[in-house]
Order: sequence, then structure tokens, then C-alpha cells
Amino acid sequence: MGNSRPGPDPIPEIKEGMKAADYLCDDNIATSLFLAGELNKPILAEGPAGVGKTDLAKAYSRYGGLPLIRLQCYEGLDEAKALYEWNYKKQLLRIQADRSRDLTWEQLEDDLFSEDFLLPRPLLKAITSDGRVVLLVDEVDKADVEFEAFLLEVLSDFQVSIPELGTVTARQIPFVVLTSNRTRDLSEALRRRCLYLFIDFPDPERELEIVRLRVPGVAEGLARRVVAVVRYIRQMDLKKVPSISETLDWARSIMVLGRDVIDEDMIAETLSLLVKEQKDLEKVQANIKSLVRQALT
Amino acid sequence: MSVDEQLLDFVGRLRASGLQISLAESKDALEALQVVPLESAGTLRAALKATLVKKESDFRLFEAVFDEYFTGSLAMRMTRDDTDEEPFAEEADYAMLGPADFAVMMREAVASGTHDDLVALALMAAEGIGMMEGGFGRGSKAVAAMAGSGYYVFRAMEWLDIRDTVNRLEELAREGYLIPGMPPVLALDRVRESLERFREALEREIRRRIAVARGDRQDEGKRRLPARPEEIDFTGATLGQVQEMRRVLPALARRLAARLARKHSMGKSGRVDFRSTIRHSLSYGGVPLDVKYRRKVPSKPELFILCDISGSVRTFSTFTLQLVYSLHQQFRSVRSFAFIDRVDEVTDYFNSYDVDEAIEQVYREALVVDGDGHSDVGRALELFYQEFHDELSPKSSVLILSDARNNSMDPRTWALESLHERVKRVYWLNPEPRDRWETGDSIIDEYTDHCHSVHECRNLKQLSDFVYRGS
Repeated sequence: MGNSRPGPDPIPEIKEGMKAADYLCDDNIATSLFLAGELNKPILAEGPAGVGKTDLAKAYSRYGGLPLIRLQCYEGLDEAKALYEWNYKKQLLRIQADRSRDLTWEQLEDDLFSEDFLLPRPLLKAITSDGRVVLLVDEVDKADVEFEAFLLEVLSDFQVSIPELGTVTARQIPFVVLTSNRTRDLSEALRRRCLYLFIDFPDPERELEIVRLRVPGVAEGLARRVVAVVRYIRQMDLKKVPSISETLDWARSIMVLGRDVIDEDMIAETLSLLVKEQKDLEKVQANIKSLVRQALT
Repeated sequence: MSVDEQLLDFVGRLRASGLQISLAESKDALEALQVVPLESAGTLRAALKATLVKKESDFRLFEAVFDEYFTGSLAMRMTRDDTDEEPFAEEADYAMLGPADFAVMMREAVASGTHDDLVALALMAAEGIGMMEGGFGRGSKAVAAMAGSGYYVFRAMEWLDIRDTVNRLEELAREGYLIPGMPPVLALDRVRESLERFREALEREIRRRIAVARGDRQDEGKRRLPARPEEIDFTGATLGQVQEMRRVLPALARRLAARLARKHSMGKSGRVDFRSTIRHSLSYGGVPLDVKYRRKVPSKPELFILCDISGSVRTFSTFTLQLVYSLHQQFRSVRSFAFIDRVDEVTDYFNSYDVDEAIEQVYREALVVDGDGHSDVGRALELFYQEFHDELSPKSSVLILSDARNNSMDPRTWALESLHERVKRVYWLNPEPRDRWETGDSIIDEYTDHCHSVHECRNLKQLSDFVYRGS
């Protein structure tokens, strides 16, 4: 299947650009980013906690030089917090200040419900922005089902209607990234609207590269050992396995401690940076000897 | 075929193998192919995956269909469309592939870690072994004519001396030569992972070829593809699959508890609130214009779960105990009981331990066996009724999870009957396929009359059907 797309292959270009923005993409991620840009569709990024879903949006905003607007989802998040609110206090002040001016009701209403009194929340900000923005809707699985339906509506048309002001349509379609930790299954409708990207723990080479990129000055041998140990721990049956950010924290703290050997004692001392559940900690502690033997020789 | 037609054909294949793909999604895929450079197979794969497959659990199925559709020689597949013969003659060069070449190619594929290389290698191996054996499932050798895929996979592994190749690769990995700069433990991982992928692709291709050779193309789609998690039998699930299935349990549990708590009548409001109506009538000069109602308080679900943990349903019960655990997390008014030939309450384990420990405790500590460890559903029900009938109320629901295989003991249906009279609903979930009910020592039919409903519950799909719809 050939097509005749002019110009150089854009995928490596994106990879390079993202790398300069401190984010290492594999083929899947780079292709999804490219498609999202070309087709103007949101990306739905799923995967375990701490593999860099949120960072993806941040890095893309650095790469494209676009402002980042972030909407953090949580249970109970509603339109008022996500889209817009009227600045009630300011409206009250205005009414009091206007008391002497003898305005008709229509005049007053026009004044009070104008953009001056509107508090735009992330979604409205993203839609009304003059230039293109990156809109990060973080942890969408934490929001309620109703909010998901509302989000769907906004994401399909990129327009919202504010009864007092009329319909606002996006001048530039934002680059949207939704992230989910899969605490609940998102609706089929939302999935259909999005490009789907599953980000898993990276393979060892990519993780090694990530450590090199994000922990400047790390010694090659140290980086490799760190990755090998983390990789080994991930294979154990733990409640919460160490994520990439924990790998990075661990590598950094070993550097700060000025140690260049990873041995049993060293791991035991710093293990709590990698493994955060008490039960998991005990489990790894108990297996530390075989860990050192198998991961580091 | 044009690119568009071919893509639609591919989408058709995906649909035929059980994936749901909407029109909008195939349109997205078409648009994606317009803009994405197709020189590398990796990009094509990534683009189709992003636009067509929206769940991680469907990836394996997608990969399998993709590999078969695109990695095999495409042109050949198209010209071949209406013939059942495999064009061996055209691929004669594969016959030259011997163990030595194979070892070299395998090493390259492992070192580069490219999925497509491994799949291509597997296709070649399948081709080769087909020639050696004189075709799939119809060869001159009697054994080959009847053999399943396992035979050919075994023969292929033997012929290519995979064991030896892998040993050498592992040695290289251990000494750090396989992938320069990679720590041994990671390189070893890579070897193992690659071998697994290779084997999987080989088996898939061999199955496909056997199906083609035997002419049962209809079946072809279903048999060679990996199962989707929601359709895997509880009883045959591997550890990894169980892990995957566990993820959806909390949501199911929440839903189940909410459904059991629902009132029979669906009306929003309850009885007339007389005081409030009179009070509001004052503003209309004493005329009760606005009738006020009491708000209905949803009843707390009082759920009693009886879980068969005997050997015959072991995998199923491990799984249902996990569901029970999720239910305990959601609601305090859940009480759970385990039984084999006697019944013991296990509520406390679930309230005080984490899931794995709780299940372990149930298996280890619960007093569920009096006799020889054969299950006796009837006795368990009787004991349950005797001990707990005072605590059952018309608000409670009872959920029984068992295959009702009673080892020819007395079913004591009266116990279930009296139980049923005391509570709101009795549900029975049976992990056995429906066509095996009432065979051997299964006595599920005798209990059916005394349950509100009995459900076949072999996989996640049936479980969630029960939770969302059935009652």
C-alpha cells in the first residue's frame, strides 16, 4: 500500500522534537501524536500510573510551543468548575455600585452578564483561546459518568453555548489529551471519538534512555543497574509496581547520596523510594538477596 | 485492490473476529492512511491501532489479525483468493531455510527486537515445516493428516533446533554480547519474550494453514485467534488472564449491590407526607394544592453470599471470592459464607485482610469440611438455614455460587425452599456450561424451582450480563 505523501517522514521528526522536549516517544506514541495533529482528534491515553501520560501532554506543549491548559478531573467535577461560572461576587458589587445610576432592568442585565463577569474555566479557556493550545484532561476516569457525557459534547463540536452570551465556537481546535488510569471503564462513545493510545511500562532500552535523558550526568553503569533492579521488582507480584517516575527518583537520589555501587545495603536503605506499599516493601526486602544476585550479576 | 478497499476488507476481518468497529472509526482509519507515511509497517500498525482499537484488552486480537493480514505476503493472498491450495511452488525459496540460517536470522530478530521480524520468521518456519511434512492436515504421512497444530509446532521447533538456538542466544545474552550495552538480565528477558512471540505467531500461522487446507474457512476466524478476556472461561483462565479480569470486578460489584438494593416499584417518591402537605396548604389558604410525598430511602442491600469452594469449582471460586471481596469493599451489609460439606461464615476475613490474603485465609481457615472433602450442597444449605434463618429478612437477597454437583447426596431441597420463603430473592450462578447441567451428579434442576433465577456464569461476559440485566 503506497501513498504519495510529499516531504520527509514526519514520525522521526516528532520523535526528535519530543526528545528535545525531554520526552522519549516510541513509534506508537509518535504516530498517535502525529495523527492527532493531522485529524484534529483527541488522544485518549490509558495505562498504569506513572508511565508518563500526563507528561506526554506537557512535553507536547513544549515541543509545539503551545500553551498548556490543564483540567484535573475528580469525583464531583461539574460544568461550573470545568467550563465557566459567573462571578457572583463581582456582580453583587456592581449592583451596589450602580444603585445611584438608575438603570433599567435591560441595561443592568446586559452589564451583569457580559464577559467582564465571566470566570472562564479550563474548557472555555481552551475553546476561546486565540492560538492553538494543548488541553490536558487529566484522569478522566475519576470524573462522574455525567461529566463524561458532557465532555463528549464539548470535544465533538468544540463549541459551547452560554445562555446569556450565545454560542462560542473554537477559533482553533485545541490539541486534546485525555488520560485515564482505568479505575473505571470509559464509555464506548468517548472511546470512539478519540484516538486510543495505550502507554505501558517501556522496554528496558527505552527506560534506560529515559533515565539518561532525565537524570543528567548519570553514570552509564549506574543507569543500567537501576533499570535492571526496577525491572526485576516489576516482575514480582506487587500491589503497586514502581513507575517510571519512581525509577527516576531513585536514580537521582542514588546520585545525590554519592554512591556508585548498588548493593544489598544500598537497596535496602532506599527501597522506600521505589516501593510504596508496606506489604510490598516487606516482600521485596525478603527477596533482596535473590534480587541482587539475579539483577546485578 | 485500492488502499481504501483493502482497509475496508481488513476492518471486515476485524469485525468477523469479534471486534466492534463503528463506521466513524473506519472513516478515521481511512483518513489516517491518507496522512501517515506507509513506508514502515510499524507506522501502519500504530495508525490502525490508534484509530480502530480502543481497548488495551483487544490489542492481542488486533495484532493477530494484523499479522496475518499484512505480514504474510499480501499480493499472494489476493491472487490466491478463491483457491484453497497453498501455493507452495511459488515460495520454493523458503525451502532453503535450514536450522543454520534460521539461527542467524533469529539472532538478528531478537537483537533488533522488532515484532514484524519475528512474525516474518515464524511465517517462514511454518512454510518450511509444511513442505517437510507434505502439506498441512492432508499430507502423505498418516499422522500428519490427522494432527492438530501442536504436532506441527513441535515438529517445527525440533527441525529448526530451537532449543539449541535459544541456549546459544541466552549464553550470548548472559555474557553481554547479544545486544551490546544491555545488562544481561534485560537481554535474557528479551530472548524469552521473543521466543514466546515467535511461538505464538508460529502456532497461529500453522492453525490458519491447517484450517485452509481442511477447507473450513468459516471456522478459521474463530479458532486461531486469542480469546477476548470477557469470553475466557473462568475454569480455563491462566494466571495472567485472571489478573486482567480482576480489573473490572469493583465496577461490577458496585453495580450488583446497587441493583440488589433497588426497590421493586420504580417510582421516584413514596407515600404521601401528610404533615408536609398540610403545612404547605397554608400558603393556599388551607387548600392542599401541592401534595407532598415522603422521600423513599433506598434499602441497604442485605446480601448473603454462599460460595462453593470445593475442588470442582476451584478456579471459579477463586474468582468469585474476588468478586465477594469487592462487594465487601462497597457495602458493609454483605455477609459471605463458604461451603464444601458444611458452611462457615467468612465475612471477617474479607473485612480485615487484603484480597489475596483474605482468599488464602478462606481456603486455609474456614471450617468447611466435616467428612471426606466431597461437596454436599444440600447439607450446606440445611446448616446455613438452621444457623442463620433468624437473620434473614424480606429485605435480604441470597446469592449462591456453585455447580450443584452433590456427589449423589440428598439434595435437601426443603432447606432452599424455606430459605427462599424468607428472603427477597435467591439467585444461583452456575459456572458450568448449560448443556452439562443435569449430567452426572449435578442437581441444579431440583434447586431451580426454589430460586428466583438460575444463571449460567462461565465467563466475565455472562457475569456482567447477570449484573447489568438479568434477575
